[in-house]
Amino acid sequence: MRNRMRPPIGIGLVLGLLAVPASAQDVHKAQAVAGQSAPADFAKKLEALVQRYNDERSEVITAYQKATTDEERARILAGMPGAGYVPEFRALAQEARGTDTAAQAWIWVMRLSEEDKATAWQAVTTLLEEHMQSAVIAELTGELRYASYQHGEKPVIEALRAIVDESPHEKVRAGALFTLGAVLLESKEPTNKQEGRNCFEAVITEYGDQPYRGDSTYRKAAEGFLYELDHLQVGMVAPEFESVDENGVPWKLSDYRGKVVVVDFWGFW
Amino acid sequence: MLPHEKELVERLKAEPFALLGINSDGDAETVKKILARESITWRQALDGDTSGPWATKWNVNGWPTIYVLDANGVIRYRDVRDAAMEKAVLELVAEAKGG
Repeated sequence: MRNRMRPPIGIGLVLGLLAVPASAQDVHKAQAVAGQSAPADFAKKLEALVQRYNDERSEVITAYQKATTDEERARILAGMPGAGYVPEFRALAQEARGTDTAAQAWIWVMRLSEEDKATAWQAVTTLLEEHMQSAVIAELTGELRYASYQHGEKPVIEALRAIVDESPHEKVRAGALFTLGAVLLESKEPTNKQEGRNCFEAVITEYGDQPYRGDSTYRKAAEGFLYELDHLQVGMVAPEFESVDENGVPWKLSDYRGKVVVVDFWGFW
Repeated sequence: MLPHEKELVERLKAEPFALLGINSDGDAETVKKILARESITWRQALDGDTSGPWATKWNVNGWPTIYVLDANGVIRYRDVRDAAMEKAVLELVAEAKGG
Protein backbone atom coordinates (compact mmCIF):
# COMPACT_ATOMS: atom_id res chain seq x y z
CA MET A 1 0.00 0.00 0.00
CA ARG A 2 2.38 2.67 1.19
CA ASN A 3 4.76 2.85 -1.67
CA ARG A 4 4.02 6.13 -3.28
CA MET A 5 7.27 7.08 -4.92
CA ARG A 6 6.84 10.78 -4.68
CA PRO A 7 5.82 11.53 -1.11
CA PRO A 8 4.07 14.79 -0.27
CA ILE A 9 5.72 18.18 -0.02
CA GLY A 10 9.04 17.73 1.76
CA ILE A 11 10.53 15.15 -0.53
CA GLY A 12 8.85 16.62 -3.55
CA LEU A 13 10.74 19.81 -2.91
CA VAL A 14 14.01 17.98 -2.50
CA LEU A 15 13.59 15.69 -5.46
CA GLY A 16 11.79 18.10 -7.70
CA LEU A 17 12.71 21.72 -7.29
CA LEU A 18 16.37 21.19 -6.70
CA ALA A 19 16.64 19.14 -9.85
CA VAL A 20 15.98 22.07 -12.14
CA PRO A 21 18.99 24.32 -11.78
CA ALA A 22 21.42 21.64 -10.70
CA SER A 23 23.20 20.90 -13.94
CA ALA A 24 26.69 21.95 -14.80
CA GLN A 25 25.30 23.07 -18.14
CA ASP A 26 23.23 25.75 -16.47
CA VAL A 27 26.37 27.07 -14.87
CA HIS A 28 27.94 27.44 -18.27
CA LYS A 29 24.86 29.04 -19.71
CA ALA A 30 24.56 31.59 -16.95
CA GLN A 31 28.19 32.55 -17.35
CA ALA A 32 27.82 32.90 -21.08
CA VAL A 33 24.84 35.17 -20.50
CA ALA A 34 26.76 37.23 -18.01
CA GLY A 35 29.44 37.89 -20.58
CA GLN A 36 32.07 38.28 -17.93
CA SER A 37 35.22 36.28 -17.82
CA ALA A 38 35.28 34.50 -14.53
CA PRO A 39 38.76 33.08 -14.12
CA ALA A 40 38.58 29.72 -15.84
CA ASP A 41 39.90 27.75 -12.90
CA PHE A 42 37.17 29.09 -10.59
CA ALA A 43 34.54 28.12 -13.14
CA LYS A 44 36.06 24.67 -13.50
CA LYS A 45 36.15 24.20 -9.74
CA LEU A 46 32.50 25.12 -9.51
CA GLU A 47 31.60 22.80 -12.33
CA ALA A 48 33.42 19.90 -10.68
CA LEU A 49 31.75 20.60 -7.33
CA VAL A 50 28.28 20.78 -8.89
CA GLN A 51 29.00 17.57 -10.78
CA ARG A 52 30.05 15.78 -7.61
CA TYR A 53 26.92 16.99 -5.81
CA ASN A 54 24.66 15.95 -8.71
CA ASP A 55 26.26 12.51 -8.99
CA GLU A 56 25.81 11.86 -5.30
CA ARG A 57 22.24 13.05 -5.47
CA SER A 58 21.46 10.83 -8.48
CA GLU A 59 22.79 7.82 -6.61
CA VAL A 60 20.54 8.55 -3.64
CA ILE A 61 17.49 9.01 -5.88
CA THR A 62 18.18 5.77 -7.73
CA ALA A 63 18.51 3.91 -4.42
CA TYR A 64 15.32 5.60 -3.15
CA GLN A 65 13.36 4.46 -6.17
CA LYS A 66 14.57 0.89 -5.73
CA ALA A 67 13.77 0.77 -2.02
CA THR A 68 10.84 -1.37 -0.99
CA THR A 69 10.09 -0.37 2.60
CA ASP A 70 9.38 2.95 4.34
CA GLU A 71 12.26 2.33 6.75
CA GLU A 72 14.67 1.81 3.87
CA ARG A 73 13.39 4.91 2.09
CA ALA A 74 13.75 7.04 5.22
CA ARG A 75 17.30 5.81 5.75
CA ILE A 76 18.25 6.52 2.12
CA LEU A 77 16.73 10.00 2.18
CA ALA A 78 18.70 10.86 5.31
CA GLY A 79 21.81 10.43 3.13
CA MET A 80 20.65 13.00 0.55
CA PRO A 81 23.55 15.40 -0.04
CA GLY A 82 22.84 18.93 1.13
CA ALA A 83 24.27 21.14 3.85
CA GLY A 84 27.45 19.06 3.86
CA TYR A 85 28.42 20.77 0.62
CA VAL A 86 27.95 24.30 1.98
CA PRO A 87 31.52 24.80 3.29
CA GLU A 88 32.99 23.92 -0.10
CA PHE A 89 30.64 26.19 -2.04
CA ARG A 90 31.23 29.00 0.45
CA ALA A 91 35.00 28.61 0.29
CA LEU A 92 34.86 28.78 -3.49
CA ALA A 93 32.58 31.85 -3.35
CA GLN A 94 35.11 33.61 -1.11
CA GLU A 95 38.08 32.54 -3.20
CA ALA A 96 36.41 33.72 -6.43
CA ARG A 97 35.01 36.87 -4.83
CA GLY A 98 33.65 39.41 -7.29
CA THR A 99 33.24 36.96 -10.17
CA ASP A 100 30.11 35.35 -11.57
CA THR A 101 31.44 32.04 -10.29
CA ALA A 102 31.26 33.49 -6.78
CA ALA A 103 27.65 34.54 -7.43
CA GLN A 104 26.84 31.01 -8.62
CA ALA A 105 28.50 29.52 -5.58
CA TRP A 106 26.53 31.79 -3.20
CA ILE A 107 23.33 30.65 -4.88
CA TRP A 108 24.37 27.08 -4.11
CA VAL A 109 25.08 28.03 -0.51
CA MET A 110 21.57 29.46 -0.24
CA ARG A 111 19.96 26.48 -1.94
CA LEU A 112 21.70 23.95 0.28
CA SER A 113 21.09 25.79 3.55
CA GLU A 114 17.43 24.92 4.05
CA GLU A 115 18.12 23.99 7.65
CA ASP A 116 20.36 26.96 8.36
CA LYS A 117 18.47 30.20 8.00
CA ALA A 118 21.39 32.49 8.93
CA THR A 119 23.74 30.95 6.37
CA ALA A 120 21.08 31.03 3.66
CA TRP A 121 20.33 34.69 4.27
CA GLN A 122 24.00 35.62 4.45
CA ALA A 123 24.29 34.21 0.94
CA VAL A 124 21.33 36.29 -0.24
CA THR A 125 22.73 39.45 1.35
CA THR A 126 26.12 38.89 -0.22
CA LEU A 127 24.53 38.36 -3.62
CA LEU A 128 22.57 41.61 -3.32
CA GLU A 129 25.53 43.61 -2.05
CA GLU A 130 28.28 42.28 -4.29
CA HIS A 131 26.59 40.86 -7.37
CA MET A 132 23.61 43.08 -8.13
CA GLN A 133 25.13 43.93 -11.53
CA SER A 134 25.47 40.27 -12.51
CA ALA A 135 23.06 38.42 -14.78
CA VAL A 136 23.45 35.44 -12.42
CA ILE A 137 20.97 37.21 -10.12
CA ALA A 138 18.29 35.83 -12.48
CA GLU A 139 18.81 32.49 -10.73
CA LEU A 140 18.43 34.10 -7.33
CA THR A 141 15.02 35.47 -8.29
CA GLY A 142 13.86 31.89 -8.94
CA GLU A 143 15.27 30.66 -5.64
CA LEU A 144 13.52 33.44 -3.73
CA ARG A 145 10.14 32.09 -4.86
CA TYR A 146 10.01 29.71 -1.92
CA ALA A 147 12.32 31.57 0.45
CA SER A 148 9.50 33.20 2.41
CA TYR A 149 8.70 29.84 4.03
CA GLN A 150 12.15 29.98 5.59
CA HIS A 151 12.76 33.69 6.06
CA GLY A 152 9.30 35.20 6.25
CA GLU A 153 7.83 37.29 3.47
CA LYS A 154 9.14 40.69 4.52
CA PRO A 155 12.88 40.29 3.81
CA VAL A 156 12.11 38.31 0.65
CA ILE A 157 9.79 41.02 -0.66
CA GLU A 158 12.42 43.68 0.13
CA ALA A 159 15.14 41.72 -1.65
CA LEU A 160 12.99 41.25 -4.74
CA ARG A 161 12.03 44.94 -4.81
CA ALA A 162 15.71 45.86 -4.64
CA ILE A 163 16.45 43.62 -7.61
CA VAL A 164 13.53 45.05 -9.63
CA ASP A 165 14.87 48.56 -8.94
CA GLU A 166 18.58 47.99 -9.32
CA SER A 167 19.43 45.23 -11.75
CA PRO A 168 20.73 46.45 -15.12
CA HIS A 169 19.48 43.28 -16.84
CA GLU A 170 15.98 43.11 -18.25
CA LYS A 171 15.87 39.33 -17.78
CA VAL A 172 16.76 39.67 -14.12
CA ARG A 173 14.18 42.42 -13.54
CA ALA A 174 11.51 40.33 -15.28
CA GLY A 175 12.29 37.34 -13.05
CA ALA A 176 12.31 39.46 -9.91
CA LEU A 177 9.01 41.19 -10.71
CA PHE A 178 7.39 37.84 -11.51
CA THR A 179 8.61 36.21 -8.29
CA LEU A 180 7.62 39.31 -6.32
CA GLY A 181 4.09 38.94 -7.71
CA ALA A 182 3.94 35.28 -6.70
CA VAL A 183 5.22 35.97 -3.17
CA LEU A 184 2.82 38.90 -2.71
CA LEU A 185 -0.16 36.83 -3.87
CA GLU A 186 0.60 34.23 -1.22
CA SER A 187 0.73 36.91 1.45
CA LYS A 188 -1.96 37.11 4.12
CA GLU A 189 -2.05 40.90 3.76
CA PRO A 190 -4.87 42.03 1.45
CA THR A 191 -2.86 45.05 0.26
CA ASN A 192 -0.04 42.72 -0.75
CA LYS A 193 -2.47 40.67 -2.84
CA GLN A 194 -3.48 43.77 -4.75
CA GLU A 195 0.15 44.65 -5.27
CA GLY A 196 0.81 41.10 -6.46
CA ARG A 197 -1.80 41.62 -9.13
CA ASN A 198 -0.11 44.87 -10.13
CA CYS A 199 3.21 43.05 -10.44
CA PHE A 200 1.80 40.45 -12.81
CA GLU A 201 0.06 43.11 -14.87
CA ALA A 202 3.35 44.98 -15.10
CA VAL A 203 5.15 41.76 -16.05
CA ILE A 204 2.72 41.34 -18.96
CA THR A 205 3.10 44.94 -20.10
CA GLU A 206 6.86 45.22 -19.71
CA TYR A 207 8.21 41.70 -20.20
CA GLY A 208 5.32 39.76 -21.77
CA ASP A 209 7.25 38.46 -24.78
CA GLN A 210 10.35 37.44 -22.85
CA PRO A 211 10.88 33.67 -22.57
CA TYR A 212 9.87 32.16 -19.26
CA ARG A 213 10.43 28.41 -18.95
CA GLY A 214 10.49 26.00 -21.86
CA ASP A 215 8.26 27.39 -24.60
CA SER A 216 6.37 29.64 -22.24
CA THR A 217 6.54 33.42 -22.05
CA TYR A 218 6.23 35.73 -19.07
CA ARG A 219 2.85 36.75 -20.47
CA LYS A 220 1.49 33.19 -20.34
CA ALA A 221 2.96 32.52 -16.92
CA ALA A 222 1.67 35.80 -15.46
CA GLU A 223 -1.78 35.24 -16.97
CA GLY A 224 -1.86 31.90 -15.13
CA PHE A 225 -1.47 33.70 -11.81
CA LEU A 226 -4.07 36.32 -12.70
CA TYR A 227 -6.49 33.55 -13.70
CA GLU A 228 -5.89 31.81 -10.38
CA LEU A 229 -6.49 35.07 -8.57
CA ASP A 230 -9.75 35.77 -10.44
CA HIS A 231 -11.23 32.26 -10.66
CA LEU A 232 -9.67 29.87 -8.18
CA GLN A 233 -10.00 31.52 -4.79
CA VAL A 234 -11.93 30.13 -1.85
CA GLY A 235 -15.59 31.16 -2.26
CA MET A 236 -15.53 31.12 -6.05
CA VAL A 237 -17.30 28.51 -8.19
CA ALA A 238 -14.55 26.32 -9.62
CA PRO A 239 -14.24 26.95 -13.35
CA GLU A 240 -15.48 24.20 -15.64
CA PHE A 241 -12.91 21.85 -17.08
CA GLU A 242 -13.15 18.83 -19.37
CA SER A 243 -10.78 15.94 -19.76
CA VAL A 244 -10.70 12.21 -20.52
CA ASP A 245 -9.99 9.33 -18.18
CA GLU A 246 -7.56 6.45 -18.77
CA ASN A 247 -10.17 4.61 -20.83
CA GLY A 248 -10.71 7.56 -23.13
CA VAL A 249 -14.06 8.43 -21.55
CA PRO A 250 -14.63 12.19 -21.49
CA TRP A 251 -15.87 13.83 -18.30
CA LYS A 252 -16.18 17.31 -16.91
CA LEU A 253 -16.01 18.83 -13.47
CA SER A 254 -19.68 19.85 -13.47
CA ASP A 255 -20.68 16.16 -13.85
CA TYR A 256 -19.97 16.01 -10.13
CA ARG A 257 -22.27 18.84 -9.07
CA GLY A 258 -24.27 17.62 -6.06
CA LYS A 259 -21.22 15.91 -4.61
CA VAL A 260 -18.40 17.19 -2.46
CA VAL A 261 -15.36 17.02 -4.70
CA VAL A 262 -11.65 16.81 -4.01
CA VAL A 263 -9.65 17.83 -7.08
CA ASP A 264 -6.20 16.34 -6.59
CA PHE A 265 -3.40 17.22 -9.04
CA TRP A 266 -1.05 14.30 -8.60
CA GLY A 267 1.50 12.02 -10.21
CA PHE A 268 4.49 9.85 -9.49
CA TRP A 269 6.63 10.76 -12.47
CA MET B 1 -1.59 10.79 1.27
CA LEU B 2 -2.48 7.83 -0.90
CA PRO B 3 -3.41 5.25 1.75
CA HIS B 4 -5.52 7.87 3.48
CA GLU B 5 -7.23 8.84 0.23
CA LYS B 6 -8.06 5.19 -0.48
CA GLU B 7 -9.48 4.71 2.97
CA LEU B 8 -11.57 7.88 2.66
CA VAL B 9 -12.94 6.91 -0.76
CA GLU B 10 -13.90 3.47 0.56
CA ARG B 11 -15.49 4.82 3.72
CA LEU B 12 -17.51 7.49 1.88
CA LYS B 13 -18.55 5.39 -1.10
CA ALA B 14 -22.24 5.74 -0.25
CA GLU B 15 -21.93 9.48 0.43
CA PRO B 16 -22.16 12.47 -1.94
CA PHE B 17 -18.38 12.60 -2.39
CA ALA B 18 -15.94 12.15 -5.25
CA LEU B 19 -12.18 12.23 -5.38
CA LEU B 20 -10.94 13.29 -8.81
CA GLY B 21 -7.32 12.78 -9.75
CA ILE B 22 -5.76 15.08 -12.31
CA ASN B 23 -2.80 12.98 -13.32
CA SER B 24 0.48 14.18 -14.82
CA ASP B 25 2.21 10.82 -15.36
CA GLY B 26 1.74 10.51 -19.12
CA ASP B 27 -0.41 8.57 -21.57
CA ALA B 28 -3.26 6.14 -20.89
CA GLU B 29 -1.07 3.03 -20.82
CA THR B 30 1.34 4.55 -18.31
CA VAL B 31 -1.46 5.79 -16.08
CA LYS B 32 -3.35 2.46 -16.27
CA LYS B 33 -0.28 0.64 -14.99
CA ILE B 34 0.11 3.05 -12.09
CA LEU B 35 -3.58 2.83 -11.18
CA ALA B 36 -3.42 -0.98 -11.23
CA ARG B 37 -0.20 -1.10 -9.24
CA GLU B 38 -1.50 1.32 -6.62
CA SER B 39 -5.09 -0.03 -6.60
CA ILE B 40 -6.48 3.42 -7.36
CA THR B 41 -10.15 3.27 -8.32
CA TRP B 42 -11.30 6.87 -8.48
CA ARG B 43 -11.86 9.00 -11.57
CA GLN B 44 -8.79 10.30 -13.33
CA ALA B 45 -8.19 13.03 -15.85
CA LEU B 46 -5.24 12.33 -18.13
CA ASP B 47 -3.48 15.66 -18.09
CA GLY B 48 -0.30 14.38 -19.76
CA ASP B 49 2.60 15.99 -17.96
CA THR B 50 3.09 18.79 -15.46
CA SER B 51 2.43 21.29 -18.27
CA GLY B 52 -0.88 19.59 -19.09
CA PRO B 53 -3.89 21.71 -20.06
CA TRP B 54 -5.71 21.47 -16.73
CA ALA B 55 -2.63 22.06 -14.60
CA THR B 56 -1.68 24.99 -16.82
CA LYS B 57 -5.14 26.58 -16.77
CA TRP B 58 -5.37 26.25 -13.00
CA ASN B 59 -1.81 27.53 -12.58
CA VAL B 60 -0.64 24.45 -10.70
CA ASN B 61 3.03 24.85 -9.85
CA GLY B 62 3.42 22.25 -7.12
CA TRP B 63 2.29 18.68 -6.66
CA PRO B 64 0.12 17.57 -5.07
CA THR B 65 -2.19 20.58 -5.33
CA ILE B 66 -5.61 20.07 -3.81
CA TYR B 67 -8.93 21.90 -4.09
CA VAL B 68 -11.97 20.91 -2.05
CA LEU B 69 -15.31 21.93 -3.59
CA ASP B 70 -18.71 21.81 -1.95
CA ALA B 71 -21.72 20.19 -3.60
CA ASN B 72 -22.44 23.44 -5.47
CA GLY B 73 -18.99 23.48 -7.03
CA VAL B 74 -17.76 26.32 -4.83
CA ILE B 75 -14.10 26.18 -3.80
CA ARG B 76 -14.11 25.92 -0.02
CA TYR B 77 -10.56 24.82 0.79
CA ARG B 78 -7.22 24.82 -0.99
CA ASP B 79 -4.15 22.75 -0.23
CA VAL B 80 -5.52 20.79 2.69
CA ARG B 81 -4.01 17.36 3.13
CA ASP B 82 -4.54 14.20 5.12
CA ALA B 83 -6.38 14.91 8.39
CA ALA B 84 -7.23 18.49 7.36
CA MET B 85 -8.59 17.28 4.03
CA GLU B 86 -10.70 14.62 5.72
CA LYS B 87 -12.11 17.17 8.16
CA ALA B 88 -13.00 19.48 5.28
CA VAL B 89 -14.64 16.69 3.30
CA LEU B 90 -16.67 15.36 6.23
CA GLU B 91 -17.88 18.85 7.11
CA LEU B 92 -18.96 19.53 3.50
CA VAL B 93 -20.60 16.13 3.11
CA ALA B 94 -22.62 16.81 6.27
CA GLU B 95 -23.50 20.24 4.89
CA ALA B 96 -24.58 18.72 1.56
CA LYS B 97 -26.83 16.18 3.25
CA GLY B 98 -28.19 18.74 5.70
CA GLY B 99 -29.05 21.24 2.99
